[in-house]
Amino acid sequence: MLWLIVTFAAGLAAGRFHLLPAAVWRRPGWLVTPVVLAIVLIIGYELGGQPDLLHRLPSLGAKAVVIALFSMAASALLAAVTASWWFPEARRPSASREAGR
Amino acid sequence: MTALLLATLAVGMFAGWLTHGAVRMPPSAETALFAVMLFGIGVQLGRDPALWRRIRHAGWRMLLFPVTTVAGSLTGAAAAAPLIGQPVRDALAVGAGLGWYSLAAVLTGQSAGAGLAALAFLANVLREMLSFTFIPLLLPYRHGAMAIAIGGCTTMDTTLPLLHRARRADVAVYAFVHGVVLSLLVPFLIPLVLRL
Repeated sequence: MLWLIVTFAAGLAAGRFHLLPAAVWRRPGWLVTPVVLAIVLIIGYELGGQPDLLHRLPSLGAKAVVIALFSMAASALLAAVTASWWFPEARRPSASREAGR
Repeated sequence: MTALLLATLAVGMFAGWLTHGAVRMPPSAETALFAVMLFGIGVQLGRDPALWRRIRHAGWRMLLFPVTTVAGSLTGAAAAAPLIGQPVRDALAVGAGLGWYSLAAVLTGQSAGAGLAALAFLANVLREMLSFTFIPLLLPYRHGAMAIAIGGCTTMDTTLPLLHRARRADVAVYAFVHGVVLSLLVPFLIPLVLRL
């Protein structure tokens, strides 16, 4: 886990103190996007190379939908409760609303 | 970007199916790619001079939202586990991705195999895709907090433009910090859950 912190911190420092060539510093997306695509390609390759896993793809997709929806719904619910407890000013009607506009 | 990702996934799957997965990537190569990704995201965050100023200005209450998003995502994933017949630990690891699909897939794959990696990838890509659908539906009804929470890690980049359209200007700042804090947590949260 230490290397995660070190790599991430090195990136933060390189970005903060301009330690990279200007081309990379200005558009770090050029660095990240191809790497993300390469990772996704590898995941796809590993998935495609395992026929048993490939056959399970529809069921994996259904499970993924359930987990995603449940996670999002529970997060949204907790966020709404938090907002109403800790940010009461956000519920106050705006001046224009109070003026009936 | 989502279409490009799904197309890349399909190309990879086709190549794997065609070659029966004959080409084996050394684990060190995957780790190196992952390191470059983390480094690049660090650069993206670090080069923004307003980042730390925004966090300071927003105050401590801003940290409540990432905490509730983590708690909600894990609770939701755990609740989903019995419905889909998946061990709670695996569902928790998938939910702990918080929308960061590439990282979730790599970390779960390294510890628990390609099956869970595929599930983590799909669930977290879906979270991003569904966020694009639900955020514009929630914002007009002043549900900024809910809109931020469903986006997970994506609120600092891909879904931030959607949240920026909220009537309250501070929603975008809260969303950005929410995404940053979650992105800092995910690399530790998934391994932690997988050790349970």
